[in-house]
Amino acid sequence: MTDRVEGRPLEEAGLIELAKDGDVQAYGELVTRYRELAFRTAFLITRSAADAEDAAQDAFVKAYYALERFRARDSFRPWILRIVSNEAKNRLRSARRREGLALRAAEDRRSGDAAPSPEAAALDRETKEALLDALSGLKENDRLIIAYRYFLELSEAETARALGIRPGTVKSRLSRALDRLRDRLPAERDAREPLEATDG
Amino acid sequence: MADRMPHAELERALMALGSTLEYPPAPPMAPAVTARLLAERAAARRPAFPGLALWPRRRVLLLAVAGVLLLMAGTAVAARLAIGAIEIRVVPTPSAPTPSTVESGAALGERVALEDARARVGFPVVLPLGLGPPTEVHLAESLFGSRVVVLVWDADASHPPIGGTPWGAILMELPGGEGPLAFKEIAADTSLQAVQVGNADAFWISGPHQLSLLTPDGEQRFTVTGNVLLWEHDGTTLRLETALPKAEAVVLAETIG
Repeated sequence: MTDRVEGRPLEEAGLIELAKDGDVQAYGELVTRYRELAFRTAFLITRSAADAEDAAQDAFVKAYYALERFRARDSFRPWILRIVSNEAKNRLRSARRREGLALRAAEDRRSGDAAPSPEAAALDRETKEALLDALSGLKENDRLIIAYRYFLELSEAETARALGIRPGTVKSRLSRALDRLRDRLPAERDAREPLEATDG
Repeated sequence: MADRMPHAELERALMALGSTLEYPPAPPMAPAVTARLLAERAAARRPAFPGLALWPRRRVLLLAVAGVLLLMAGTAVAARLAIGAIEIRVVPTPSAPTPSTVESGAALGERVALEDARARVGFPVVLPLGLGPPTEVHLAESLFGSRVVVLVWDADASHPPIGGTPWGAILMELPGGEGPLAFKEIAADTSLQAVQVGNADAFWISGPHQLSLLTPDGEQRFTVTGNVLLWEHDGTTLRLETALPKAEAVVLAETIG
């Protein structure tokens, strides 16, 4: 897994500096760049589009005021995600009444869309559903570390920063989260061939 | 005990799953975020606004309007904070609602027939589809002498009453091109979102807040209990208040024209 932060570091650093000086427009550009990731992160936690939108928007506002505490050497992505995830968790706690939407995986893509990766193509619907079911039963922290690493494709270092844990503990925490996820998968699945199509 | 999937396979399966996960579309966030930041800054600083010839009794009001405008001058996001004739101010704590009333009856201005309203305002009065003719039409004079139209519809099964009123929908139409005629003052924790009505940029405000109309007699304050959409249509600023959730309010708004 590669670290995608390398995108346009200078330009991003410039925007952050401008925003620190009070340039709200520059900050708006940063918001635009990260809104998708922020929204998805919040959605993975709240599983409500409305809560995710509110959480992400509030997080961006809070982050603006916290920018002076952001160090130029750090990556913006995990920093903002940490604020977003905190907002989303707070919102989730105050909105337990609402039943979250289940995460859904897309059905097979239609022709004309980007070709799915071989793994995606081979992952049958039953396996997807089993994984999603198992994920939804996990505790928040387990779900989040899995989502950061595999769904949002954060590096280990970014995952550590986004979760506020030491980089050295990402592997062990992830491993334990995967163990618990596996425990929740149906026992009858033939785990040796999880990626191959089944007859249903 | 069944075979246990090795971590490596589980990881591959999760990455494959990640590439097919469906998320709701991420809404545009920058306009609302920058609007909130600018508004909070404006509310905190309230800079003086020199050099305008002001009518004495309007001076205080215009100072407040001008403060917001001055801060936003020259920035592309300026227009996003003001929708046509309505300014949105986000404040840490909304002013005490004094003396304010829920918008209803006489508080909304002189009651007239729809055709009178059409004849007396300088812009085309537009109506939503599906609500039928308005129950009441009111005209209020704006700070600049032009007229603001307020149309109300009785609540019905599809349009539940707005808190404290018998109305299911309140549509306010303000002439454009004269500068701000009304303020919305909302607390920082009130939901302010940038949305689209058709192709027009709009704001969605849910949660109680204050609306001030600038009239020749001073500032008229209202407590707003419904959910509000603000947008511009052919140069007229429209403000639709209902008790409907966002998606339904937008659908209703898009029938106006």
